[in-house]
Amino acid sequence: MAQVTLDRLTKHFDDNPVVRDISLTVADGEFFSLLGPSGCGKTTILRMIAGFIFPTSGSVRFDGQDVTGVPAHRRNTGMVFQNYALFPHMTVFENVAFGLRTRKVPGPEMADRVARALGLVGLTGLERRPVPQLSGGQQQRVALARAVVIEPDLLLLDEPLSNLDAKLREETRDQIRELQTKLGITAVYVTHDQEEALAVSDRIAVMEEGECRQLDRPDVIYRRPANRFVAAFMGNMNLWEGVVSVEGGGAVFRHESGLTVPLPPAALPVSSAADDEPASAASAPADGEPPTDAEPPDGPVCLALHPQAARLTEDETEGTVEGVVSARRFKGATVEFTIDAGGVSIQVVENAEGPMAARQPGDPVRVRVPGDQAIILRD
Amino acid sequence: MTLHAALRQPRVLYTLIRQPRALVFIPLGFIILGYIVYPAALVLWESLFREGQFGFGNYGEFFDPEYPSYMEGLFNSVMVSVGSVLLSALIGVPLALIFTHYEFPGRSVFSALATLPIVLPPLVGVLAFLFLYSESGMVPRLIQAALGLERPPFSLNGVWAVLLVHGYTMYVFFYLFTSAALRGIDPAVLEAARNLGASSWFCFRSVTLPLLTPAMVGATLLVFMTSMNSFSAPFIFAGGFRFLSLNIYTSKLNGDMAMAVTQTVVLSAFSIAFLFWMRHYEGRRHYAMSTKGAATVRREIRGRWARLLAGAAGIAMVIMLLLPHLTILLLSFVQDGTWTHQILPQVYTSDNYGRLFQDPTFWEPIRNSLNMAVISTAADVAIGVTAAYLVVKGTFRGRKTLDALVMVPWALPGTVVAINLIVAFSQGTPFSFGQVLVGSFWLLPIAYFVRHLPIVFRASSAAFRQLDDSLEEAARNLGAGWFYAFRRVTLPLIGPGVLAGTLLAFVTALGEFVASILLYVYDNRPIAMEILSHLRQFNIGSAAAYAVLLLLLVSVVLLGSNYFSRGTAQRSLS
Repeated sequence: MAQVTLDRLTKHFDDNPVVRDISLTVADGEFFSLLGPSGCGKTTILRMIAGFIFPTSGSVRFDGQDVTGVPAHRRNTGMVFQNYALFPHMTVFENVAFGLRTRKVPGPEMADRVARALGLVGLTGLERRPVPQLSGGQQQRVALARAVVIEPDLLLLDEPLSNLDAKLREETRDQIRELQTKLGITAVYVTHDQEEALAVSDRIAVMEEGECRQLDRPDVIYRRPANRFVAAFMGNMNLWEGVVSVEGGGAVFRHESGLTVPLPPAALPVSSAADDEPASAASAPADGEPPTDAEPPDGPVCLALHPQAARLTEDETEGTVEGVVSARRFKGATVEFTIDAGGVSIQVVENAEGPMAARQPGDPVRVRVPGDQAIILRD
Repeated sequence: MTLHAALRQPRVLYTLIRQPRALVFIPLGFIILGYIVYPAALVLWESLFREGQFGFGNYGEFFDPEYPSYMEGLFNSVMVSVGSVLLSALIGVPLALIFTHYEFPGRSVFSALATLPIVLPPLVGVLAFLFLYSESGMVPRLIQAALGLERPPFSLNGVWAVLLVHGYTMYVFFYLFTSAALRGIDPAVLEAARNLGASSWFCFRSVTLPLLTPAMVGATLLVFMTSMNSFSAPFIFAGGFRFLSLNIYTSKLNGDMAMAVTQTVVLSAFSIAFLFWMRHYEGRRHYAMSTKGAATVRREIRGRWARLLAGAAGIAMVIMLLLPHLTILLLSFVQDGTWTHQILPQVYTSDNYGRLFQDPTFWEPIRNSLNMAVISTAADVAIGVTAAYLVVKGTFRGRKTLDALVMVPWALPGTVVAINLIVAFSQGTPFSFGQVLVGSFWLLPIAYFVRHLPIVFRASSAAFRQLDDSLEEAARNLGAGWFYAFRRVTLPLIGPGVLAGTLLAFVTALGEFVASILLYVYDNRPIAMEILSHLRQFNIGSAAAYAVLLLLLVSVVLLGSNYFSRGTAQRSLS
């Protein structure tokens, strides 16, 4: 069990910066995710924590102890690889026992611990099986057992679910989280799947081009993305470019298509730093936003609105926009609409039981765009 | 009984009528039976007759302590083969490890050069070693002169010379197999081992080495087999030592056909056993590893001295590797009969090449080799590609047998193939349309065809195996006719593989020596025989000039093969 601190971590590959000046702390026992598109540097950070590559500058500390130059095999971390990296010439038992052998754990204790680890992941009875004969899901669980059996200070997971099919992925995801909680191991999890990260993490660092764009609790990142990148990456949010001006005593967002959204003061703060807690304070310098003030921002901004905040309606009341249904996607519990509102496209999610859910492409509708649920982003 | 049911009775005929494509089995079967199975079977049959008496008399003589020369040949062959395996592994495996794991200046050049010995036709390589390291060789005598010694400090002959030649040419198998296996190891597996606390040495011993084992077993078997079958090196260097492959040749020269065929059977048994052992291992050579094509990470050698050392070692290696080629080139400018007791040749001339344009007979062996290589390779392609298609994509029973029959000549030494053909075609047979082929032009091209059929077959099988059936189906689904789909989809995909095999078969035929020495006649004497006859007359310059021309031909063809296959690969990627 350990606390991991990255201090101004930077990595260049052939003068090409892949990780830029990352500082963050993963608390003891925390499930911490590095989330971002491919090439954002998340795996590079993980590999620097594991000790497979060494930073160009900056340091890695476990429980305050500098391990920046410590070779991989002396770090006592357990890693689950994307392709599992099971030893193809060994059985399940030999794979799981490998880390205990390197630690010279005596035979009886080794057998005992391997059996317990396999029990934890539900693979009891498969000890003698050669690994190439296992299914993908079983291989994944062998990899997990192999990583936790050594009782590592730190569990490192590099996109461990990306080779599984959708159903198995959710099951295994929950199993990993359950195991981590049960064992109380600090975990660093790398993924490009925002749903996965939201579902399991205590905190998430959203990465782009080697920089941390936002670091916070999943609910905060989802509800109040700090910038355009995070908002776009976290899902199908409505993102409209425009400007904010003061009209008649209140702030108003104005889109080039003519769409206007009146904004209450609460919509204006741009930074998630509003939620001010220690975790955010330790986050990357990218969050260096000014403290909350109701001053409307100058210049172009972006309005972000969750599709479930928008509503289809028939009332021609104030704050509604006229449009036509251009696409309809039935999702079971909900229905997703794309509304063409004269030069601006609006994503709306309706409850499938709701009165407006039956609207079909081509139907004229109105959309309520609630300014109090909108977020104004400057970056 | 209905007409339909009646037609079903003679199954084979029915199949032929319903599926005209099954007609390909007729020529295929005729050729494989006639030129591979029948000669080998006849040799086995004849080995069972001793002075007209049926029985195991010949084998009795072979194993009889009264005539120790036969067993001695077998024993020496096995011992030299074991030595060749050890020496080749000792050179090839570390080389592969270094080139795969470390990055240093010139690495890619060195790693390309490391496969150079494979380009050397057998006789040419042996000759280079003879002039370099034998008693009158340049290297020992240069050292003698430089140090002012009374006698050359060392000289190569006998078993040690054969071993060294084998090590030089056969380490390439270990190098290539190990390199491929190392590239096949998922780097994440090694990282996983490190992550679990394994030190570099523990990681190498418990993960890398076991993963390399199948490749090394494959290389071991291949080197052992090649060494058992080796003829050129013992032929030049053996001196008083006996080797099984050489014994066959001497028995035949002495007119003792009974013992020639008996030893042929013994050697064949060894070779075929090794072939099947190897095929068994080949099947399990690759551990199924799911990687996303992760590239091997090479560690850069950083320290100044380490880099200097790596560079120096590299240059020394290049010199060692290129010395035979350079020697042959140098000797090709030596005037015939002028190099006798001097350390280095004194008189240089371009006459050896000048005769290219003046002496019409100079061209004859080259023309002969080219002719026979073209004929035999054309037949290899026709039969090899068809057989490969049937074995890989066919569904008929007997696929495995066909596969084995076509592959067997690969294991057979050239000496064995030659003896088989001599025995089979010293009388008229249906397969030669009643003609006696011994003493004719045709026996040698047939030998080339048989020896190199497996090369084309292997390359084509690999190409067909990689060809996803659904690609052709996709083409058909998009409206392409059978021939259009073949021309636009199948052919471009299998083409590079088949072409590579074809060109390899062609260059191997150009430099062929082992079967040639037993089968050639004056009218079809190939380049290798011309080199040998010049050597026997001490026309070293002429011999070397032919060798250089042979090397040039081989290099041009192989470079062309590289160029074509690379171009296609690139096109298929973009």
